[in-house]
Amino acid sequence: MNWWNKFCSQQREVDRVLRADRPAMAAADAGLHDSIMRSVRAARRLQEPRRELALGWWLSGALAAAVAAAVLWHPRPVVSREPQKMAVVTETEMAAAPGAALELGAQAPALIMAPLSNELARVDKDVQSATAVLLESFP
Amino acid sequence: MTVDYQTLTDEELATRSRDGSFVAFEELVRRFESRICAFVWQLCRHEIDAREITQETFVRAFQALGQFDARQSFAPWIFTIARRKCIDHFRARKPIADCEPPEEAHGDDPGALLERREEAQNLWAVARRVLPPVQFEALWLYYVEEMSGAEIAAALGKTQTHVKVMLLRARHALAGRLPQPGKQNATAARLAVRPPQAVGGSL
Repeated sequence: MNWWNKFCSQQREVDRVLRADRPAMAAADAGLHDSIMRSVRAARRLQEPRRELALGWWLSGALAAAVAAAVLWHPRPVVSREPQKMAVVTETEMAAAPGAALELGAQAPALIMAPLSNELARVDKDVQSATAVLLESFP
Repeated sequence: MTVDYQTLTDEELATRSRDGSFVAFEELVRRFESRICAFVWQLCRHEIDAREITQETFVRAFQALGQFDARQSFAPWIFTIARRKCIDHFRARKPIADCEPPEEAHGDDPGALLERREEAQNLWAVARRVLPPVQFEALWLYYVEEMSGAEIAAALGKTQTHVKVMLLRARHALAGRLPQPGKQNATAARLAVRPPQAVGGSL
């Protein structure tokens, strides 16, 4: 155990000397402080535009993502994959269609129907003129 | 309400700095600049380099504040940055002859002999010369910065057990070089002829 005691006492002695001879920490001179702060300020100035740029990119990215999400989630009309059945129209319905159209025309406001009526009158006049010409041409 | 930044802990200051308070960061600089500069100077032994590395350390710390975890101590974090900056600095400037340690470059120089004689009276100077850099860093952080084993481990990127072993080996290596009042000249002469790499214990 003699070597162990010697080892321990050596360790204690080195520990004591290292603690006792600790280098004194002198206060940093103003020049060092100023140069550090200057460099840090310069780094901050460089960093700020980057932050703004990053914020801009972030905002535009978020906007693009929102638009994409809106497009994807927008309710679209459901397209049926089954073939549409042909409408069966009976002869009675077909015969009733002109009547219904005339009724619709009678019910429609005069403002909408007036140009059509004028045009119809002109066509009728033309037909009558043509009939008269044809009749006069017969011997 | 005005905040007295001098009463805040390092971690609180770091948190405020991270949140954008430049005054808080300046207080951190005030607290750590001389400590970082002394640590760096011990590693590079060049005043201009030490100031430059100290400056770069604080700039890097400012840029990396977002990565700082306020639950951890601030001191090991910034000493880690300083140490890495030193390593980067030496790696970048290795080919330059100016970076060579003066003791090794001018071993037979009378000035170097005198310097070593003076160094022999101070165990810290001997430690810096004979110990491997990482052991010296551990020793410095333990005795000068008074960091705990866990903090040193965090600063050096080692385990706590490794740090304890390094400290033990460093003290053991220095045990034979304790300055003795009657044998100072003999110690200096012995140190002058012994190559540094033959003395330091390897991990």
